[in-house]
Amino acid sequence: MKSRLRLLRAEHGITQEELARRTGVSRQAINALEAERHDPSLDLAYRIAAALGAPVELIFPNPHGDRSI
Amino acid sequence: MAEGWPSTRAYVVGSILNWLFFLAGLALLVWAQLGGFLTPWLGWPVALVITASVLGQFIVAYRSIAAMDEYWRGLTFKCGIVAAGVAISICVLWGFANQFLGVPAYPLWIVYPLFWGLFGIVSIFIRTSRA
Repeated sequence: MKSRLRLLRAEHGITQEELARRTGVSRQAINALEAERHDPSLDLAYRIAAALGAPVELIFPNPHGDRSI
Repeated sequence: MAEGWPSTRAYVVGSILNWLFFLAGLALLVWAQLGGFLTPWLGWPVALVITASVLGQFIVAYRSIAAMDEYWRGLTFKCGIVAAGVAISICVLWGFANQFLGVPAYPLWIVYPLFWGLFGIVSIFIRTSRA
Protein backbone atom coordinates (compact mmCIF):
# COMPACT_ATOMS: atom_id res chain seq x y z
CA MET A 1 0.00 0.00 0.00
CA LYS A 2 1.38 3.39 -0.99
CA SER A 3 1.68 5.83 1.85
CA ARG A 4 2.70 9.40 2.54
CA LEU A 5 3.76 8.49 6.04
CA ARG A 6 7.46 9.35 5.70
CA LEU A 7 6.63 12.71 4.17
CA LEU A 8 4.01 13.64 6.76
CA ARG A 9 6.15 12.43 9.65
CA ALA A 10 9.01 14.62 8.39
CA GLU A 11 6.65 17.58 8.05
CA HIS A 12 5.65 17.10 11.69
CA GLY A 13 9.32 16.91 12.64
CA ILE A 14 9.03 13.67 14.59
CA THR A 15 11.26 10.63 14.45
CA GLN A 16 10.22 7.06 13.75
CA GLU A 17 10.90 6.29 17.42
CA GLU A 18 8.59 9.06 18.55
CA LEU A 19 5.80 8.03 16.20
CA ALA A 20 6.25 4.42 17.29
CA ARG A 21 5.95 5.45 20.93
CA ARG A 22 2.81 7.49 20.22
CA THR A 23 1.12 4.66 18.32
CA GLY A 24 2.24 1.75 20.52
CA VAL A 25 4.22 -0.18 17.91
CA SER A 26 7.91 -0.82 17.30
CA ARG A 27 10.18 1.54 15.36
CA GLN A 28 10.66 -1.29 12.88
CA ALA A 29 6.91 -1.35 12.27
CA ILE A 30 6.96 2.37 11.38
CA ASN A 31 9.99 1.79 9.17
CA ALA A 32 8.24 -1.15 7.47
CA LEU A 33 5.16 1.01 6.81
CA GLU A 34 7.29 3.77 5.27
CA ALA A 35 9.20 1.25 3.16
CA GLU A 36 5.92 -0.39 2.09
CA ARG A 37 6.92 -3.70 3.63
CA HIS A 38 3.80 -3.78 5.78
CA ASP A 39 0.18 -2.86 5.18
CA PRO A 40 -1.34 -1.36 8.31
CA SER A 41 -4.47 -2.68 9.94
CA LEU A 42 -7.36 -0.25 10.07
CA ASP A 43 -6.70 0.18 13.79
CA LEU A 44 -3.05 1.12 13.29
CA ALA A 45 -3.90 3.41 10.39
CA TYR A 46 -6.33 5.31 12.63
CA ARG A 47 -3.79 5.44 15.47
CA ILE A 48 -1.20 6.94 13.13
CA ALA A 49 -3.75 9.38 11.75
CA ALA A 50 -4.61 10.48 15.28
CA ALA A 51 -0.94 10.84 16.20
CA LEU A 52 -0.27 13.00 13.14
CA GLY A 53 -3.57 14.86 13.34
CA ALA A 54 -4.41 14.03 9.75
CA PRO A 55 -7.17 12.10 7.98
CA VAL A 56 -6.34 8.45 7.33
CA GLU A 57 -6.67 8.80 3.56
CA LEU A 58 -4.16 11.64 3.51
CA ILE A 59 -1.57 9.27 4.95
CA PHE A 60 -2.71 6.06 3.29
CA PRO A 61 -4.48 6.90 0.03
CA ASN A 62 -7.34 4.53 -0.71
CA PRO A 63 -5.86 2.02 -3.19
CA HIS A 64 -9.37 1.26 -4.45
CA GLY A 65 -9.93 4.84 -5.52
CA ASP A 66 -13.47 5.97 -6.07
CA ARG A 67 -14.98 2.61 -7.00
CA SER A 68 -18.50 3.30 -5.88
CA ILE A 69 -21.12 0.58 -5.45
CA MET B 1 10.87 -2.17 21.88
CA ALA B 2 14.44 -3.33 21.29
CA GLU B 3 16.07 -3.45 17.85
CA GLY B 4 16.02 -6.75 15.97
CA TRP B 5 13.65 -9.61 16.54
CA PRO B 6 11.51 -8.69 19.51
CA SER B 7 11.63 -11.06 22.45
CA THR B 8 10.50 -10.90 26.02
CA ARG B 9 12.47 -12.07 29.04
CA ALA B 10 9.89 -14.85 29.53
CA TYR B 11 10.51 -16.04 25.96
CA VAL B 12 14.30 -16.08 26.33
CA VAL B 13 14.24 -17.86 29.69
CA GLY B 14 11.49 -20.26 28.58
CA SER B 15 13.31 -21.09 25.35
CA ILE B 16 16.61 -21.77 27.13
CA LEU B 17 14.89 -24.05 29.65
CA ASN B 18 12.87 -25.92 27.02
CA TRP B 19 15.91 -26.52 24.81
CA LEU B 20 17.98 -27.60 27.81
CA PHE B 21 15.33 -30.19 28.72
CA PHE B 22 15.13 -31.32 25.09
CA LEU B 23 18.89 -31.74 24.67
CA ALA B 24 19.41 -33.25 28.12
CA GLY B 25 16.62 -35.77 27.52
CA LEU B 26 18.00 -36.67 24.13
CA ALA B 27 21.51 -37.08 25.56
CA LEU B 28 20.15 -39.25 28.37
CA LEU B 29 18.28 -41.54 25.98
CA VAL B 30 21.31 -41.90 23.71
CA TRP B 31 23.56 -42.57 26.70
CA ALA B 32 21.15 -45.13 28.14
CA GLN B 33 20.82 -46.89 24.80
CA LEU B 34 24.57 -47.03 24.23
CA GLY B 35 25.07 -48.18 27.82
CA GLY B 36 22.51 -50.93 27.42
CA PHE B 37 20.34 -49.80 30.35
CA LEU B 38 17.48 -48.21 28.43
CA THR B 39 14.27 -49.72 29.77
CA PRO B 40 10.67 -48.65 29.12
CA TRP B 41 10.55 -47.37 32.72
CA LEU B 42 13.31 -44.92 31.87
CA GLY B 43 12.58 -44.32 28.19
CA TRP B 44 8.93 -43.38 28.38
CA PRO B 45 9.18 -40.75 31.14
CA VAL B 46 12.21 -39.15 29.48
CA ALA B 47 10.44 -39.16 26.11
CA LEU B 48 7.43 -37.48 27.74
CA VAL B 49 9.64 -34.83 29.35
CA ILE B 50 11.21 -34.13 25.95
CA THR B 51 7.77 -33.90 24.39
CA ALA B 52 6.65 -31.51 27.13
CA SER B 53 9.64 -29.30 26.34
CA VAL B 54 8.57 -29.19 22.68
CA LEU B 55 5.03 -28.23 23.65
CA GLY B 56 6.43 -25.71 26.14
CA GLN B 57 8.57 -24.10 23.45
CA PHE B 58 5.55 -23.57 21.22
CA ILE B 59 3.61 -22.12 24.15
CA VAL B 60 6.33 -19.55 24.96
CA ALA B 61 6.63 -18.77 21.23
CA TYR B 62 2.87 -18.21 21.02
CA ARG B 63 2.93 -15.93 24.06
CA SER B 64 5.82 -13.99 22.57
CA ILE B 65 3.95 -13.57 19.30
CA ALA B 66 0.86 -12.39 21.18
CA ALA B 67 2.95 -9.62 22.76
CA MET B 68 4.35 -8.40 19.42
CA ASP B 69 2.99 -5.54 17.35
CA GLU B 70 1.12 -6.33 14.13
CA TYR B 71 4.18 -5.99 11.88
CA TRP B 72 6.32 -8.46 13.85
CA ARG B 73 3.34 -10.77 14.31
CA GLY B 74 2.74 -10.88 10.57
CA LEU B 75 6.42 -11.40 9.88
CA THR B 76 6.69 -14.18 12.45
CA PHE B 77 3.65 -16.03 11.13
CA LYS B 78 4.99 -15.75 7.59
CA CYS B 79 8.37 -17.18 8.65
CA GLY B 80 6.59 -19.92 10.61
CA ILE B 81 4.46 -20.93 7.65
CA VAL B 82 7.44 -21.01 5.28
CA ALA B 83 9.58 -22.97 7.77
CA ALA B 84 6.75 -25.43 8.47
CA GLY B 85 6.10 -25.89 4.75
CA VAL B 86 9.74 -26.61 3.99
CA ALA B 87 10.23 -28.86 7.04
CA ILE B 88 7.11 -30.94 6.31
CA SER B 89 7.99 -31.18 2.62
CA ILE B 90 11.47 -32.47 3.45
CA CYS B 91 9.98 -35.03 5.83
CA VAL B 92 7.40 -36.18 3.27
CA LEU B 93 10.08 -36.53 0.60
CA TRP B 94 12.34 -38.41 3.02
CA GLY B 95 9.46 -40.62 4.13
CA PHE B 96 8.60 -41.72 0.59
CA ALA B 97 12.29 -42.15 -0.25
CA ASN B 98 12.70 -44.28 2.86
CA GLN B 99 9.64 -46.44 2.22
CA PHE B 100 10.05 -46.99 -1.51
CA LEU B 101 13.65 -46.18 -2.45
CA GLY B 102 15.66 -47.67 0.37
CA VAL B 103 16.94 -44.37 1.76
CA PRO B 104 17.92 -44.79 5.44
CA ALA B 105 15.27 -43.98 8.05
CA TYR B 106 15.62 -40.98 10.33
CA PRO B 107 13.85 -40.46 13.66
CA LEU B 108 10.68 -38.39 13.43
CA TRP B 109 11.79 -35.99 16.18
CA ILE B 110 14.25 -34.48 13.67
CA VAL B 111 11.34 -32.38 12.36
CA TYR B 112 11.41 -30.29 15.55
CA PRO B 113 14.98 -28.93 15.35
CA LEU B 114 14.60 -28.89 11.55
CA PHE B 115 11.59 -26.57 11.84
CA TRP B 116 13.32 -24.13 14.21
CA GLY B 117 16.52 -24.22 12.18
CA LEU B 118 14.59 -23.39 9.04
CA PHE B 119 12.69 -20.70 10.92
CA GLY B 120 15.98 -19.07 11.85
CA ILE B 121 17.22 -19.24 8.27
CA VAL B 122 14.08 -17.90 6.58
CA SER B 123 13.76 -15.10 9.14
CA ILE B 124 17.02 -13.67 7.79
CA PHE B 125 15.50 -13.30 4.33
CA ILE B 126 11.82 -12.54 4.97
CA ARG B 127 11.58 -8.87 5.92
CA THR B 128 8.09 -8.03 4.74
CA SER B 129 4.77 -8.98 6.27
CA ARG B 130 3.04 -8.56 2.91
CA ALA B 131 1.92 -11.58 0.91
